[in-house]
Amino acid sequence: MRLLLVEDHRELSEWIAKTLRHAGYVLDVLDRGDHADHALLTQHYDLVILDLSLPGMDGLDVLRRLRAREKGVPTPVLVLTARGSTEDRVKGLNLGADDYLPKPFDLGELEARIKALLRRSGNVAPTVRIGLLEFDTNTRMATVSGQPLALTPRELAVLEALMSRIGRPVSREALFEKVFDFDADARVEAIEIYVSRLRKKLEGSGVAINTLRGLGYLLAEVAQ
Amino acid sequence: MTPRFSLRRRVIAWLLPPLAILVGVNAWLSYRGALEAVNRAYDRSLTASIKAVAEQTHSIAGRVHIDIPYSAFEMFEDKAQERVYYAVIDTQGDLLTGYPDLPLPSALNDSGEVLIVDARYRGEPIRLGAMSKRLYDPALAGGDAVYIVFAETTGSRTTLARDLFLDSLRRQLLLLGVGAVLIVLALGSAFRPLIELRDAIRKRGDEDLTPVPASNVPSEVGPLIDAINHHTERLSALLAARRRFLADAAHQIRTPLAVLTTQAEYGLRQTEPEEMLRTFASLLRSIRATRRLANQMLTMSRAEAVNGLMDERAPVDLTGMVKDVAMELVPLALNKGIDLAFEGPSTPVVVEGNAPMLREMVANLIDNAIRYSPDDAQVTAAVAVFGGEAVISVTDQGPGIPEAERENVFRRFYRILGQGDSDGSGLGLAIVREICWAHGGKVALRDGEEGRGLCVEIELPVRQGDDAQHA
Repeated sequence: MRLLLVEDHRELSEWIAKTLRHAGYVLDVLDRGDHADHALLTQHYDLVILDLSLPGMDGLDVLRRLRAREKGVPTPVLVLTARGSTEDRVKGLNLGADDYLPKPFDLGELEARIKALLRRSGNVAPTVRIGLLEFDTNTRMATVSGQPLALTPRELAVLEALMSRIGRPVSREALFEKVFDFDADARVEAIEIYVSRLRKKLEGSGVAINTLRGLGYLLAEVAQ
Repeated sequence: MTPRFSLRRRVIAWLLPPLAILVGVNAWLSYRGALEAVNRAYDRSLTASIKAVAEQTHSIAGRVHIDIPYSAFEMFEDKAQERVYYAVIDTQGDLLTGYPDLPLPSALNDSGEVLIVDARYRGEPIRLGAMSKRLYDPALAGGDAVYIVFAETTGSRTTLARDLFLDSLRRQLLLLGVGAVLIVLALGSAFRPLIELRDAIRKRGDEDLTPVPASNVPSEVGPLIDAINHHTERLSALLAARRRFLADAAHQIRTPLAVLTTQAEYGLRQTEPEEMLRTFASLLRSIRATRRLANQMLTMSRAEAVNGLMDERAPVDLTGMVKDVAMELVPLALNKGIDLAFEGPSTPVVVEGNAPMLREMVANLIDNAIRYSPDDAQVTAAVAVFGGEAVISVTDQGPGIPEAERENVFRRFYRILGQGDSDGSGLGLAIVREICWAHGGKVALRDGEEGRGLCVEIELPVRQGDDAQHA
């Protein structure tokens, strides 16, 4: 797993690099935009962590040039910036950044985003784990302590949607869209039936589906 | 900035050309008047000469006797340079005496009146008078009348008229000149107070924001000065607030830095790995609080920049936005075991505003509620419409805010004694109010449900045309 970190703040990039290398990533570190542009021309990276304000060449330009010459599967790019303005964020996402993290951030958050991006591009083991529950995103198989969990297609769709956002809520409307076809003659409230069935099947897995009134559902580990 | 114009130049441009045109028109009219007066006077002598000749013209038995009396020429004597022509012509057109080929006015009739016209003779302009005289002689062959014609060249008439005209023109130009000088002097005097004011303002120091004295300026300029003073007053207040904020901010940053320093130094002295790890954990907590403070300060300064200068307004759906923000803050609530809920209509509630700023406002409200609530409490964010106003409310089950403190908590860096949560930046509610006011809204603090906790209510005007469907 080869990552490129482009960040001109020495101290910050040093500590990010230390942490990521400790977590098992192979990491190249550059501190200039033009150098990053050159490196991306000659090397293949599985993911790029890109600061926006860089000497030599602006981060947005590096990104634009990368996207312009890419054929086939694009390299996931995680943009870092101190300019917390929405305008930059929109610009970055328009130019093809895959995610965006405003500085200052927690390293845990950075690692989680990297993992999510790599998983999305099929670069890491597709298994998501929470409590005793394991979910293989390729085969769509759920197991509890290694034992397969028998789920109906709609229950499986609910679980899949919740597993894709562990620790974050999924709105009832979003779940509804994942579970029912456009033409299905069902009301949004119907989703509650599948959630409560799934909730029963997850008993004893160390995982619970929390209901957030007016907001949606959230998959979380049960405190032991 | 549009190019500047000079009032002085503008007044002169408005006054002088029309005046010059008026003078021109007047001059032409006065020349015509002068010429008429001269003609009237000269024509009288011409008429007298013709009448004198007519008196001396008789016909006896078919013979016309004409005696041109000296008195007929007497009138012209003082104008020696003028040529005088005369002729007596019978009704057949034959010249009886005088100069040949003098033209006869076509309108001449037998009334015995003298008719005077302008004509040309021998290439010169002439003034020509003519009358027909009946002779009452039956023996006369060609009818019994003759035409008597007298003419003189017009040189002295036009010269006199021109002299009169030039005289009056000179007087008028003199008046115009004096008028122009008076206008310039009057303008100078009118603008002097303004120029003095300008010099006085130029001489002021950069930091001098005291009101400009409006006592010595014309009453028309008074309101302008008042408006400028009002503006300066607001600037001055803003500047003072900025200075205070900067000083406060520096002070506020020092406190967490002191904590961080202490924690780091303490950690360095530890030899037990367990204690070191605990110190690191505390250090991280302090750093996060400091980070939040910095973020809040940035938001505050952005909110201030937005206030009074909101040009990026767009329709914002509060239902969707508040729900979104609540969703984002669920992990934070979950950490404290807080049950975060949303209540709102299923239809959009649309207001006009700056979406990122409104998000920031709602995030601050919910964040505050979570922060000040005890573990396992409830926080509810709600959106509703009451009588054309969109209402966002966030209710918690925390300690609440006593009545007496409810105005103070909107002040920057204000903290209630005894609630000194080191995590709070003291800016949350100040930010909320700043953004709310910038959107023409109102913010109120109430007791939470059953008199417990706090409910913050934001009222924003619903976008025009959107209130009907929810009212």
